[in-house]
Amino acid sequence: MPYEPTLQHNPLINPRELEQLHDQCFSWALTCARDRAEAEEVLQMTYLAIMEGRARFGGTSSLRTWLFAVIRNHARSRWRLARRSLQAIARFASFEPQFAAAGSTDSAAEYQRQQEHRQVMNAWRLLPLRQREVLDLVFYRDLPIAEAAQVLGVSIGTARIHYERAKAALKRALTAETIDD
Amino acid sequence: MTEPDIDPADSELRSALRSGIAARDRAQRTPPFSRVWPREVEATRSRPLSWGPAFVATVLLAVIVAGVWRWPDHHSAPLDASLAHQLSSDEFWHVPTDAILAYEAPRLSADLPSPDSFQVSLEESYL
Repeated sequence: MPYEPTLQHNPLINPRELEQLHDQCFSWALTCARDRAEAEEVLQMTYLAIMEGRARFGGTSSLRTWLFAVIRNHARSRWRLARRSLQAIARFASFEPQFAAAGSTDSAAEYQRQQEHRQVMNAWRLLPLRQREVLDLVFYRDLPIAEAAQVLGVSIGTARIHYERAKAALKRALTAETIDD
Repeated sequence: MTEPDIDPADSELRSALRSGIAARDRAQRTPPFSRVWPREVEATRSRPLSWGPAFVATVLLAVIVAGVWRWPDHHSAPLDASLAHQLSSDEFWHVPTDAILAYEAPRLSADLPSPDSFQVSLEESYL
């Protein structure tokens, strides 16, 4: 039986829609956080804030845009606390997506695809956080830059600047990796 | 939802990044919503605060305070201020209160020897 969350402090949120967005919320939390454990914690903190009414949906944007912004804010709060921790940075730098679990490596084509994924993800993770976020929102989640700006809490002009710089940086990183190979 | 602002020249880059992030999401399975939603906190916080014990304790305390406040003897007569002053002095036993007068010993009717005729030697004086 599906669980129905209590949203007495957020009457504008449809519980079913919230649950349907859970997958996307976790995916976005993975982008904002340093590892899976932190992503789960950030998401739980977000849900707790929604349940307690500390985060209130006003209906001025889409629920998804609002959720992404709240998740990002919680991830940033945690990031500020751990920013000086060299251990945290080292752990982030060594975070490797478990591509092997996604499928078998029997075929050469599958192996090649996984190598390309790893190359792109490595280059993407080396980007500054805001550039990484804007590329995730625009390239992967198909958000217009105006909505991405809402999630990031910046102006549209600033979001566009980050977007252009992120694309250029990613292209440079992929080109450099290709040359190194 | 409006169309994203994607330059056709970036389609290859976009496709590569989409594949990478999608592969990451496939590898990192989403935890169930019911597990992430703070249900235990919800259950704890949804329980209303119990006012019964606090109310009973307050009433009991008020009864005790009222009883202690009115504990002094109700039948005691108001004390005369001048008599209270005399009784608080160092020679309080001289104060002729009613109780003392009621228990005053009767006057002695015996003949006591005169001090002039009472001769005590030096040795007897030490006894």
